Amino acid sequence: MNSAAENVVVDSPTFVAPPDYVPTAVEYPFQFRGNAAEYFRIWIVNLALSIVTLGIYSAWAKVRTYRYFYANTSVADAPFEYLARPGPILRGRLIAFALFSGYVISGHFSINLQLGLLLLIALLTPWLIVRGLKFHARYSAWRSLNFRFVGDYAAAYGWYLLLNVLIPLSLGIAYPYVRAQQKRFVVESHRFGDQPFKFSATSGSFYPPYLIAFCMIIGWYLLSIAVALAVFSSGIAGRGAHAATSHSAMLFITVFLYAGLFMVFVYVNSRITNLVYNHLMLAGSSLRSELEAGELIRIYLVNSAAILCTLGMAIPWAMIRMAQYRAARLTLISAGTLDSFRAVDSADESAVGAEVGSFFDIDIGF
Amino acid sequence: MFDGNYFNGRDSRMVRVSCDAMFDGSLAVRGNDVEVSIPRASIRVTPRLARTHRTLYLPGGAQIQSDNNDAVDAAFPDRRAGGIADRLERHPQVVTASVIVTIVALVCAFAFGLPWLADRLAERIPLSVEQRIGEQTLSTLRRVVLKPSKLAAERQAELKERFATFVQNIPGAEKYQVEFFDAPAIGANAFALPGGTIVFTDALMGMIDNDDEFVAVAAHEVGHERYRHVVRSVLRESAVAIVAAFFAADVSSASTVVVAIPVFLLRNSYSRTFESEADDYAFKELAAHNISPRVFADAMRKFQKEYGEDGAADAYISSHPVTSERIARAEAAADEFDKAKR
Repeated sequence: MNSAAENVVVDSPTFVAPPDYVPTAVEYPFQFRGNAAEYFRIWIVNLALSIVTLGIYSAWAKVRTYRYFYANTSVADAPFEYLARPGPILRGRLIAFALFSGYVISGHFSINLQLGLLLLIALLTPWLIVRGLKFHARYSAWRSLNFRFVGDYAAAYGWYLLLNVLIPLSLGIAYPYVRAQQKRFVVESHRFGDQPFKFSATSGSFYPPYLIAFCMIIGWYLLSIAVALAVFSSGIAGRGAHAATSHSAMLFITVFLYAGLFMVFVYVNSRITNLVYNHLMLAGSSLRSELEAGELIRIYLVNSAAILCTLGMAIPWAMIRMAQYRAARLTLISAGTLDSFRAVDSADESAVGAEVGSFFDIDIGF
Repeated sequence: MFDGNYFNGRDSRMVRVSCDAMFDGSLAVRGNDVEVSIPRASIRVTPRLARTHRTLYLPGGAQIQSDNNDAVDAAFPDRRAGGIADRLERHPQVVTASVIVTIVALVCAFAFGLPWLADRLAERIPLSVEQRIGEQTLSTLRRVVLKPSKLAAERQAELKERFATFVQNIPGAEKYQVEFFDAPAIGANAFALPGGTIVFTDALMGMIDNDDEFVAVAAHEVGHERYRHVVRSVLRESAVAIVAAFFAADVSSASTVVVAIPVFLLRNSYSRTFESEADDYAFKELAAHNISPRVFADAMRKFQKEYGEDGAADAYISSHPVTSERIARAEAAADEFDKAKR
């Protein structure tokens, strides 16, 4: 049918449309230019200064690390920028440290106090998530314009606290639905300049990855039990002083089990990341994410082996490799122009970000 | 002079510009549709970071991004102070020193930090839990290597009586007790289970000539009990395993701590510090009971003769490295004891 229609057009030259008749989408691949030798110097100096200053420098270290990875990632000829200052990060870390030590120390005095503190932290979680997202978005920029997170706290409590109740009530069946709603909340609450992000993925599309992962976990557990039975029944003959042998057999089975679970985790993570990125729209632009679980697992394995063999000194190399792969698998597709995003009026901005510069302008966590 | 991308601060349009640092202290910016001159003193410049771009924040919200780091530094010589971290990162000696600092800190954390943490954890384990672990360990060992003792019941009762008399004035005496087992697989051996039970094998009792030597070995094991060496050793070893597991992203090994105790006892491998601590405790208690530490040296010599300096695998002696050194220390304690008596 299609070729027949084309033939008609060819037969009558006056109908030939100009090549730019249909607005063509332009593809801009993401690029990552960082290299391991360069980043190693930043990483090791960060680490040493953090150790020497008993962790205080870690806030400065985080800023340098993020700046390095952002600035080396670019799309459509423009790099990303990380704009956060170390002060708020340090403050956030001190608060997180205080909460954590409060939790640990309270356990020495009273278990009720500790449980109360745990409940308080749980109740604070949605608030902390919003704080973190706001902070992260506000201090991320591209082509001089900031990202923003405009989701409010009440909505966050709905999506993260109330909706989570559905998971145990439905015996886990609602889990993909809940995750989909939470992703939608996060994506649609983001702005770039004056433009909102749109999310077109349905909740139904979250079910296949989680269902496959669920089956893989069950299968892997059964396989691990089978392997454990095989190992122990063969080893049961040699008892006595072979306690050490059964100890290493246990270790082998544990490692076997967790290696499998880790692979499932990587699989789900890559599928969900692809799903979210591929259903994200920003003023006529979209993304294409083509992460492959197999390739990611291969990178993780090589990275882990290198890190173990070098007593951690290969960590920067591993981080750079992962960033390179992730950037190589991400493409920006724009049907229109990338020049028309506008900054938000400063009056509006101050209303939105009333907390900027206040005590709670913090990035909590490690 | 350097090139860069100019942004007007209002939209995402990117304009290629060239910038000139003028003698009057201004920065002249020229490009398509852009022609401005700004006092350099009013421009904020981001600190240098490897080869990444620099951003120049102009008054009024506009900005320029440039990859030409050296030219930007030349145009803003007074802003170099912001780049201390960058200069450290580019200094080979600083990088080398950082590697050393990190490795030393890591080694110290493993050598001192983890044992310290493990000991704090051991302190928090209540005696009842430790005793339950001890019972579990004993029942495991009875299934695997320990068989009922061939010693006469009267002899066992006599030795238990002797032990009870020895520990009666020691704090926590009620939790200490001795048990005898026949264990061909592990040879002449004695070990202290968590919670206070001390196990002697028939083979060990066969090597001993008198009850004072039995008391000397028992005193050493009470020393291990007194300082909770089993739980502390297992926790210390596990702490290393836990951290190693953490780096390998597998924290499940933490649950193997209890499983590790029988294995640890069969390997009988206390650290040298723990052995010396138990020895010193034994010397002190023997002296307090008017027994010369020389009997401990005598017992050690018998093990040494039987098993050699290195000792056979799984034998009592193998857990006690550098036996000659320990005999010498026991002799010194004995001389001290003799001097005090005179």
